[in-house]
Amino acid sequence: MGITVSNTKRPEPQALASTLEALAARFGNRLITSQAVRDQHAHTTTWLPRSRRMQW
Amino acid sequence: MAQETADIQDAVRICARYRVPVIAFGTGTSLEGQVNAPAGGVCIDLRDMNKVLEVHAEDLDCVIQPGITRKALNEYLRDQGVFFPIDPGADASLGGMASTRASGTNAVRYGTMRDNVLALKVVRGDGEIITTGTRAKKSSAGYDLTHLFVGAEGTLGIICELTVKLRGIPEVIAAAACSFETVRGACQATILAIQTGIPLARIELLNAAQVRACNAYSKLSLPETPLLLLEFHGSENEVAEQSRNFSEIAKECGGGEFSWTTRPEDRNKLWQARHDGYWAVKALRPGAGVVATDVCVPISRLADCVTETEADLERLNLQSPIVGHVGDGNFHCSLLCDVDDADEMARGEDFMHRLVQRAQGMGGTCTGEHGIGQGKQKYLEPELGSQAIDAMRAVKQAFDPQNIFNPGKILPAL
Repeated sequence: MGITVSNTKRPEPQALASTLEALAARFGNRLITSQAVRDQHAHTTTWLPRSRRMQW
Repeated sequence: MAQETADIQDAVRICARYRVPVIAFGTGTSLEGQVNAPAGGVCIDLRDMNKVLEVHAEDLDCVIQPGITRKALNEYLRDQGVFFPIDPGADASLGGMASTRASGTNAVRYGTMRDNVLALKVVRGDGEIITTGTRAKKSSAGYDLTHLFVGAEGTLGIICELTVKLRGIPEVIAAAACSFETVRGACQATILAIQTGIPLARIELLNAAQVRACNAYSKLSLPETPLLLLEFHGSENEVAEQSRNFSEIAKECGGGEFSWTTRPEDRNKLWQARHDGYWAVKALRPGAGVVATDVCVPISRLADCVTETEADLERLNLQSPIVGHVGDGNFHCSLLCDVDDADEMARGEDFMHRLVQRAQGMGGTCTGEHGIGQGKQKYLEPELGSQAIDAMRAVKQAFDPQNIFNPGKILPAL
C-alpha cells in the first residue's frame, strides 16, 4: 500500500533538546528528566527488556 | 505529569513539532512491553488525572479521567450501589485498561473493556480532541471510533477522558471451589454451565501445578488436581440456585466435592489466592523471572489447548503453572525462567511460539487480553492476514502520520 512505518527511529539530538526546552518552558518542574524517574517509568511488569527494539 | 487535558494537548503539540515519540503511562502494569520506549521520547504520566468527573447511577455510567485506577474508581462508586466490573488483577489505570483492551476474571459475565467503554475523548497528533461517542447505550452514528481506540495501545492518540458502563452491586455474592480429575472435566463442566445459561460471574481454572503453587504460597489445602474457582452474583435465592445447578453439572463431569460460601472472609481468601497466583508462581523458584503470556481459543478447544500445552512443557523441561479465564477460553502461562540462562530462555521462546501457533491453529488468538505491544507483533499477520495488517497501517498513517504515538508497538516494522 506504499505506507512505511519505520517505527523505532530515535529522534535527532537537536530535536530532543528543542523538545525538552519547550516542555520545560510550558511545564516548569513538572517536566522531570532525572534518571531515577525515567528508570521508574521504564520498569514495568513486562518481562521484555526496556531497550528491546524488535520482537523475536 | 499531566494534570489536565490541556497539558496533554500542549505536550503532544510540542512533541509533534519536533517529531519526538510520546508514550502515555498509567501504572506500568502492561505485560507485552506496551510502555517501553524503544525509540526514546517523552513519557506522559497520567496518574494525576485521576478524577471521577460525573456519575450517572440511574444510567449506569460514569465519566472519568484516564489515570484513575479500577480500585480507586470502585471505592468512589461503592456508596452509590454501583461498580465497574472489569478486573484484570493489577490495579491498573482505566486509560491503560482501555488502551490494552483489558479484561480479567469477570469477563465471562460483564465482558471486556471493549464492551464497557461507551465513549472516549482522545488527543490526536495536532493536539486537537476527538470525541468518539456519547453516553447513549447504543449508536449508529458513523464509524465506531470508540472501539478503534480501545486496544490501540496508545499508538493512535492519547485518551484523556472515558465514559464507561457501570453495574449494580449484587445483593449476594457467593464463591465456590470444585476440584476435577482432569482439565478436560473442568472445561466440560464450564461449557455445560454456559450452555445451560447459568449466569457465572467468574469461572477460573487452575491446573494442578498452579494449585500446588497456591497451596504453598497462600497456605491452602486444596486437592492438587485441576480446580475451578467460581463466583455467583444475584439475590440469595438466585445464588443458591446457581450454585446447586453448577454442582450437579460438576458431578456429571467428574468433579469432586463442591463447596460454596457467601461469607466475605472465605470468599476473599479464595480469590486472594487466585489474585496472588503470580507471586505464588514466583515463590516456586526464587530468583527466576516470570514470563507471562496468554492466548485465547474457542471454549470447545480449551481442554485440548491446555492439555497439549502441559505436554509441551514436560517435553521442553520447563515449569509454567497455568490459570485460565475458562469461561472465555483464555488462559495464561507463567513461565519460570532464569533470564541469564540462554538455553532455558531459548526453550521458553520456543514454548511460547508453539503456544501461539497451537492457539491460532485451533481458531484462537495470540492474545486474549495482554495485547500485542512489542512481544507479539510477529503473530498478527499469521492470525489476520496481510490485508488486515495493511488496513491497520493505513489507520496508523491516518491518525499518526508522523508516527509519534508509542512507536514500535503493535505493527511490525517494515
